[in-house]
Amino acid sequence: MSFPSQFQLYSLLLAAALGSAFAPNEAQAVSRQRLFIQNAIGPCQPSLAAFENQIRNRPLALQNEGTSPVFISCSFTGTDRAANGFDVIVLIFDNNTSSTVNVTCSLVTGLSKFGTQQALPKTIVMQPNSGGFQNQMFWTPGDNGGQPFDNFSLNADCTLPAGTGISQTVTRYDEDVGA
Amino acid sequence: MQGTNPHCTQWSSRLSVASMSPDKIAPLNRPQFGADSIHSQGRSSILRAHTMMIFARFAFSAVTIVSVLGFSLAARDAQALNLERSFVKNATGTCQSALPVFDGQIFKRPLAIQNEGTASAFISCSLMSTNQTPSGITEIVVFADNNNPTTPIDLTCTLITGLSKFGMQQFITQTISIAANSRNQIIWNGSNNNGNSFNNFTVNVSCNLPMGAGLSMTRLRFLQDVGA
Repeated sequence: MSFPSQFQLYSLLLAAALGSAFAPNEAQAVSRQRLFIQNAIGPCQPSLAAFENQIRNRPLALQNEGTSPVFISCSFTGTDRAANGFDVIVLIFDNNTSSTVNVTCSLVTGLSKFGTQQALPKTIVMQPNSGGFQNQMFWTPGDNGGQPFDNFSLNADCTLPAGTGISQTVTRYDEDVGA
Repeated sequence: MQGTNPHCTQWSSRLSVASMSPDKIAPLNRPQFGADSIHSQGRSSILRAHTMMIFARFAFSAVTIVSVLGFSLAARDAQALNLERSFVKNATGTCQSALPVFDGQIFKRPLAIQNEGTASAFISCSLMSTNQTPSGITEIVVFADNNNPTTPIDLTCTLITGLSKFGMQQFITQTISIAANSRNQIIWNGSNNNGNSFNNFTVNVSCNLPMGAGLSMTRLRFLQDVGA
């Protein structure tokens, strides 16, 4: 093998190796999944002053310690990093009673007095003295015609029966972390 | 923390391969090809020298390829970065009075949630968090004010991590002193947790606010993989 042909071989190998070094950089222009996790006393409050007297704000859960249902409203953090919107919203509940109890919430998207708002109600059945991941209520694009949810204005209202609480909120989105 | 990252260790070992230049390696294998030595050793010596020259070129090629490929692999890992992130929010956005009985004492200002009554009040807070971190939550901070003009106060807060009715919760209580008409902060980090970060990703705080005290800001720190 003469020197020029060997030089050409080196050049080809060098070009191929450098090419392989830079090509994956573009392949790595990918998204990373992000979660916002917050217990309910951060984003949720009773919707009217009349309900305040029944609510106990524990660090681990917002609880209805009265004898009748209360309405609560929650507003979750949005971000402009969620270019494709949020794809999962989860609410987790406690049932502190010895009875089976239903809890109903609506996911409400949109801005007050602007554009289109959306309300997607859900109900789950909670077993007696249950909580944590046993009592999850979640919304996915399957509840929204296959589309993710608004990335700026995600909210919920819930009717908390007596003896129940809302413990945790989770929202999920993908962030483009660039090349 | 970066120093213990396994990615960094792998990257370092690959860099050591990439930094091996042919000049450092080839002379060990390179035979001496002076004209006098060829004439004196005959045909077999020429053949042996020619074989060694081919071997040296092959070795040089191999070293070149390994170096370049090593560099390219190292470059890929170098771009898998973890950057520090914070969630910062004033306390009025994350905290509420724990019971209705305290509501009459609590003033929710944009800059602080304050106890303006004449007795202590309990406040519960839940900080924004995430589990998208390779090393847990590294620090939680609550900033507090003492609005009493002449009296210092002690503020006691408990960090509570975990989910209600599920798994393990963690309770870590701290007390700080705040001079009159001043501010201070309570910090939870590895030093409060046997050198570890916090791997329960629901981060909450309960504080017993003395008369005249307020919580102004909450902050949570973590590392996040920002990809390429």
